[in-house]
Amino acid sequence: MGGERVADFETLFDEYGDKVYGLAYRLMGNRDDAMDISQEVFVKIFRNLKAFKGQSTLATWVYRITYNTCMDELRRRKIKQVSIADKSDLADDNTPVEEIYEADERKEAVHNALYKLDDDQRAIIVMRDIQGLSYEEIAEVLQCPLGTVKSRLSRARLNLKEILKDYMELFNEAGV
Amino acid sequence: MDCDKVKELLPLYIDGGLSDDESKAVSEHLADCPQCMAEYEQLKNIAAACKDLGFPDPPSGYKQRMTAVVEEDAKKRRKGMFGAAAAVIAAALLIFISVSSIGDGNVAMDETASTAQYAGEIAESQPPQNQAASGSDVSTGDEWKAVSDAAGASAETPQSGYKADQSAPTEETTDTGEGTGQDLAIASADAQQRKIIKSAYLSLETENFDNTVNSIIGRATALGGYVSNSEYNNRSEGKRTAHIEVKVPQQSFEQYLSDMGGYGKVVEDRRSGQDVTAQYIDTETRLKMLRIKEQKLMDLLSKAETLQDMFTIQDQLTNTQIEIERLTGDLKRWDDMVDYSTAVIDIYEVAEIEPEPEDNPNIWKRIGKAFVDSINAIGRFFEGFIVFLFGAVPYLVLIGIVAWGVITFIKNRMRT
Repeated sequence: MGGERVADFETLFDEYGDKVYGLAYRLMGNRDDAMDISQEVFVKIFRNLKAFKGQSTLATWVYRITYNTCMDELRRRKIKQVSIADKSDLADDNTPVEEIYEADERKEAVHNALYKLDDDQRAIIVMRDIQGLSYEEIAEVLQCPLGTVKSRLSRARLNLKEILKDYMELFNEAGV
Repeated sequence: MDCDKVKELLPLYIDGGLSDDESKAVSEHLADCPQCMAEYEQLKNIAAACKDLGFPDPPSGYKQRMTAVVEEDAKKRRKGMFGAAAAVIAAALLIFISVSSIGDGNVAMDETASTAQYAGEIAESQPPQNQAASGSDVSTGDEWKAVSDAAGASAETPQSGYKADQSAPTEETTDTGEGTGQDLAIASADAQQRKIIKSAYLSLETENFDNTVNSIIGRATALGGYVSNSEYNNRSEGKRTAHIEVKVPQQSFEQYLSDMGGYGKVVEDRRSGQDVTAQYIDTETRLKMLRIKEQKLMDLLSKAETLQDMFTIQDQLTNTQIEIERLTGDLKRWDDMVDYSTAVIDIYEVAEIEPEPEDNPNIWKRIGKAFVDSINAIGRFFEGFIVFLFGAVPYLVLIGIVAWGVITFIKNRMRT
């Protein structure tokens, strides 16, 4: 790929619109936030499209903007929560858990478990196991060395398994 | 490879994130370790479940909403650009106005900046610099003349001067009172920035003439000062007089004057502080403009083509340089006068110091006078400040426009 220029909104949106929304949804955990984040991301993309010089692929650039926007928002909320009240149960209440949306029990368990992970660990599982980006692409999105991607992913998968240990019977046999 | 090590590697083994060697070792271990194999299956199944989760489809109207948002943002940014352009134009206008007014020799803009802190002066600091500079020359000269007149008179006819002093004790005390009021007003300003020429006139009576004269001179030298002028009159023994002018560094001046009481009886003490800050700044500004003019003339000179042009420019240049020298000299002289305060001291030998005239009855009068003076000084300050404020209105309006443009621009930026 490389530094191709996307001249108009149509082309870029057709290519990445769904992915931006999906990534934002999985990182934030609900549809309203996903919508807000997507808006912010597309505004940023079109403001900076001229400045995009193809140091990375357009795809990883778009994902990086999405990822950073989500992380900024999550960080902001955490600060807000701390400053409003340092009750930990309040913080738990605010953890974005989607209304029962996943029909399948196994999916629901995974979905809920994901939001018990740290934000950056969830992000790496989302990008690798849900979105299917390669290690190298993830390293570019996160702007970090490949080794960091691997160690973070490794820790994230172990943590996820730990969170899901009560539901283990769902995962003992090969997938449905 | 043991189980712990394998369990550590498994999370990356499931999707080929290990090196070939590690991967091979883990495969071999898994073949005969059912426990690790179970763990591997779990990890793999969780990853598969994640994959099943996938990305949800965006809601209907997603594309329309994104398109609308992006277009609206683009419109807003164009407006933002307009705001920024307006701000730039306003700023340019402001600079133009200020530069052209300086060019005209009207230093209102500079004054605004530098006199903001002592607005009391601005009302009188508006005349063209030429006049201001020479005006201050005159006033300085006047003061000097006054001082030396007084001194000269008493030196020539010590008796009559002395008598006059004696015959008007009330006048003296009011003088002192006025000095206090002025001191207060001066002290309230920023002493660091202000250019104040301090001077004092004292007359002393002493029974021990030689000692007093030596102490006065010695003390001045000790404080880093010097005697700039002195006259002695020894015509009649027992009634000798001396007229001494000393220069003392300003920071030690008050100290010096207060020491005088120890050398004799102070029968007269007049102090004055002439504030030349406004003239000083005027002259500085004018000097700055002249230097620019000089530079421009030199540039022109190097480009002059005809001999006629060259002579004309050279004439101009010479005049400019003479003027620069003159103003530089003025500044230097002011600096010197500010750095070194002047004390003019007349010393009279007396056979016996007269007992202190009763001056207690006057203390209430003096307090009242000092109080009224202070109130007047404050009044003058605010008066000046209000004049300054109204004078600055046109600039404030312009600055307001610029600030508005910048704020609008920043707000537009922030909102997105």
